[in-house]
Amino acid sequence: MKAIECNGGAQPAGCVTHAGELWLPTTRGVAYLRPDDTARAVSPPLSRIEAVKVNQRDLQSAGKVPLRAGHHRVEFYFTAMTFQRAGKIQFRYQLENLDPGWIDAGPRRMAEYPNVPAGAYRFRVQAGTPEGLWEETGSSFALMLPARFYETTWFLVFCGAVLVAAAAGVYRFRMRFLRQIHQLEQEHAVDLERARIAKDMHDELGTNLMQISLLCARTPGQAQNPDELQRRFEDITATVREAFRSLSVIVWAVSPQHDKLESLVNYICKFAENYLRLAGIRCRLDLPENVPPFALSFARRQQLFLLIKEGLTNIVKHAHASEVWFRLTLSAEEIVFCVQDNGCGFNTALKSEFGNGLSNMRRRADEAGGRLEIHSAPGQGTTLRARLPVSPDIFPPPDNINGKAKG
Amino acid sequence: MKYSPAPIRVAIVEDAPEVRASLRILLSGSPGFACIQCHSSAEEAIKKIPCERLDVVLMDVNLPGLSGIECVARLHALGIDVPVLMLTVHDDEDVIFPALEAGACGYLLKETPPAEILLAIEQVHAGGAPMSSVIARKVVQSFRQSVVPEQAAVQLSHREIEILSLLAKGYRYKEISDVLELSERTINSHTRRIYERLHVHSRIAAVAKFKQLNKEQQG
Repeated sequence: MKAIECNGGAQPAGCVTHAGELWLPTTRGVAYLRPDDTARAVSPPLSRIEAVKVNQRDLQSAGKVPLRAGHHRVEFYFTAMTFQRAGKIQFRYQLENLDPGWIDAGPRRMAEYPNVPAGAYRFRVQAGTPEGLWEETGSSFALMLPARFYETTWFLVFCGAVLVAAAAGVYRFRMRFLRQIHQLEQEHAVDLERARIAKDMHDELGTNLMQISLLCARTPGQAQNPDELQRRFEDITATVREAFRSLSVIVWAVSPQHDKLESLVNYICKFAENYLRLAGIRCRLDLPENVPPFALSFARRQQLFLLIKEGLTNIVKHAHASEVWFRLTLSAEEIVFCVQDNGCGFNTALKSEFGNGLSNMRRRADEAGGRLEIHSAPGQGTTLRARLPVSPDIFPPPDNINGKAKG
Repeated sequence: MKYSPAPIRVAIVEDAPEVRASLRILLSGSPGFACIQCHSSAEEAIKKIPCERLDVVLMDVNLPGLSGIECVARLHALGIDVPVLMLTVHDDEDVIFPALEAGACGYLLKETPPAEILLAIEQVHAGGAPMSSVIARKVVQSFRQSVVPEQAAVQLSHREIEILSLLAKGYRYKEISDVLELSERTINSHTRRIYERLHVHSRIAAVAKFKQLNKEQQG
């Protein structure tokens, strides 16, 4: 078909029929051709990667090339090795590790990725005919883009380790700091308690003992008088008993095993019963059957006890009552200690007479972390209510209890 | 000639020599009382007390070696039902209640004036059983708390519960006898029986607890 006639060297050089057949004259006759058949018969074109540019730099050799670390602009240029309908050849490509699937490029012979992170990739391209016949394997190019040091797994692991270590360090430091503060606070609290105990011992026991020692001292003249001796002897006995009682209060207040509500309630009951019996006043108790295991610190217990003791003393001294009720009411929010008498009462507006005693009791209620209510009117008796909110240090959640027990 | 009844025969168990001597002098010097034995330890008391007829034992709570509470429990286990009065320094229920559970029938504070100590011994000898409001509450709680089937046998009677609840409200024996129209003597015998039931109750509870522990270990 390389004869001159076929190339139009002579007229007519060929014709196209209505059926789309191409008729060409040759030296030996006529040749005809049906272009549709030809198109169907051809195999898919072979693709070829011509150039790979990273950051505008051409990578001549395929494979792993030393590159600067970081993000890259990557371009791939490819073509198909065919002369048949070159303009209509289709391409599709995929950058494995980045593209999830094939990307249709159409007739375009280039793929660009403006910002590729570090990693190992494989660029694949396939060429195909417009009819959708694709080559089987296509061409591929392996590309290795090195990571910046801070993008590597090792670096991340290292950073994590450093972070953890730093956090642990800070935590330990803080714990030590807190422990020190806690220890100082405790020491301070212990000092306060010690001062208080010392004061109690001095005030109560010391006075009693001094009294005894004075009573025992023999003064000339009096010692011969048997009545005087008898009287002194009785005084000594009474004072010793008083000293015993003071000691018992101090021992009760100090020992940690009594740091609970039940112990306080029992102690108040016993005190009230004995004290009021001696004064000829009936003592009635109204207590819940089960007292919950609330914790009450030494200071709180002592303040509450002394508050109620003062209330009872006031009743015996001023109220002319015949009956006193000690009540304990408990709710989820508060503990209420109530001392009620059926005595003469007083006008709460006129505080002059009892003002000092009442403010003292209020102070004690404050120090115990609660507040005091006084209801009274002349002729109607008096009701004292000490309300103590149930705070976490009184009733800690179960976990804390365990923690304390272990600590 | 003055009529003198047989003296109340008392044993003392107390480790502090001064207190022991003082109590002996007090008892020997008081008409109507006789100090028969003096022991300085629970072990000695357990050996000697069963050998003689005694009316009342005064027992210190804090003894070297076996405690006074353990001593009371062992004497009871030996079948010796002489009434025991515990001697304590301060009236702390955590100490006293276990003693009552072990079988003691009352307690004396060491600060109690001598005349009252003698009075208390006489009362206990005559069948009295003093019970404070706090102890009454503890007894009620103790019977309420443990739910052991075998305990049905040692439940408190209606009358006993009545007496306990009045005691817990602060009523004195005299007032209770007025309210319930009983003699004080009857109330005393009731409280004495409450102590005995408490003792049996605590023993059954202990046995039950032991059995349960065994079961748990096996299961």
